[in-house]
Amino acid sequence: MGTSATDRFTRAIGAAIGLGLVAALIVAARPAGGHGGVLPASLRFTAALDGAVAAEPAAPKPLLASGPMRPGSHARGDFTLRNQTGETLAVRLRAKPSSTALDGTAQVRLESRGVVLSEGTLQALRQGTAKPLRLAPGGAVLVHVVAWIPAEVETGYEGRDVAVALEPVEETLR
Amino acid sequence: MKTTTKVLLTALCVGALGSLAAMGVFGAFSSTTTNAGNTITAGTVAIADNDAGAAMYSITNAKPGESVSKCIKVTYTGSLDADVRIYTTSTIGALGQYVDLTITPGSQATPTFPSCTGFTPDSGGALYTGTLASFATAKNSYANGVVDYPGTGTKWAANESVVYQVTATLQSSAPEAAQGATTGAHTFTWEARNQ
Repeated sequence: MGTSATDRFTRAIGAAIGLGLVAALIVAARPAGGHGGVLPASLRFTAALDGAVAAEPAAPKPLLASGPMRPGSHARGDFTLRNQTGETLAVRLRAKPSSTALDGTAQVRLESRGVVLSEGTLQALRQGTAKPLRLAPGGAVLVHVVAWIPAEVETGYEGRDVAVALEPVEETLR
Repeated sequence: MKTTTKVLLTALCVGALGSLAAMGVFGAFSSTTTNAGNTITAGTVAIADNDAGAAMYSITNAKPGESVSKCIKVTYTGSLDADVRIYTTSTIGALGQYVDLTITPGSQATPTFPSCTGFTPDSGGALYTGTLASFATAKNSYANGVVDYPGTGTKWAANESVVYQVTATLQSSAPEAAQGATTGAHTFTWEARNQ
């Protein structure tokens, strides 16, 4: 039995509608987009002590506890470093995170006396701040910490909880 | 059969088959259980002071009766509870028998090595009182070192610290034989070991 052009056209339209329905079903079955439906990240910073430099608040008290963080979230904290030695010290701070889960995702900026000591990924801060803090004997300085997850981040932060110890590394300036 | 009916039936068939396929994809039953995140990390024992490598005292031309008093803050930063003992492994020179040594634990609001400004001794008094030579003889290893804990505790926990006032006095009664003698360079050691 021959098929007319009208029949072929009709069948093609029918097939297209059917495929469209399937596609609509699949799309409808996908999880919701955006960041609202996923677990947030969290960051907790503490200042580690050593013999030469005292910190306030000192670990285990946090100097920054971010709460839930999603792309675009910022968290801030401060702490004081004090030189307990009788020598002038050049102090750098390096991060010791509890895991690598947010190494490439979280950004951290350390600032003191209006100078940015370091800004970049948490991973980069493992190497220490680029600029040292100069501390006279008995001298103290306030350090500001800002941590954030960039707004353009889409994944790689969900449900990740990282504790970061900021360790002082000193060099004596004689 | 009318064309409209054919269109509708075709759409219905394709849609129904597609839906069934989709349900097959999304509708599989499954169940798992896991025990994740198992790990073992060793604890740490770490102790440090605020001397930045400098000596507490270095006296030349000392006179009988001359005294020096310096303070050092010792901080425990390990994660394991620990004991800390003080000793010296140094060999003390002839003057050591005429040098009185006192080691007193306490606290200080704003320690700055080696200043003792604002030092407050603990109520328990000195940990060691005797000559430097005797200290070197009796307290020359961890085994026989002077035991101390922060406050009234029985352990050093993370981030606890104690300020020690070390006082060395050349005895007023030092004999003529002490003239020109020296103690030699000596090192005080605070050693921590986990409990």
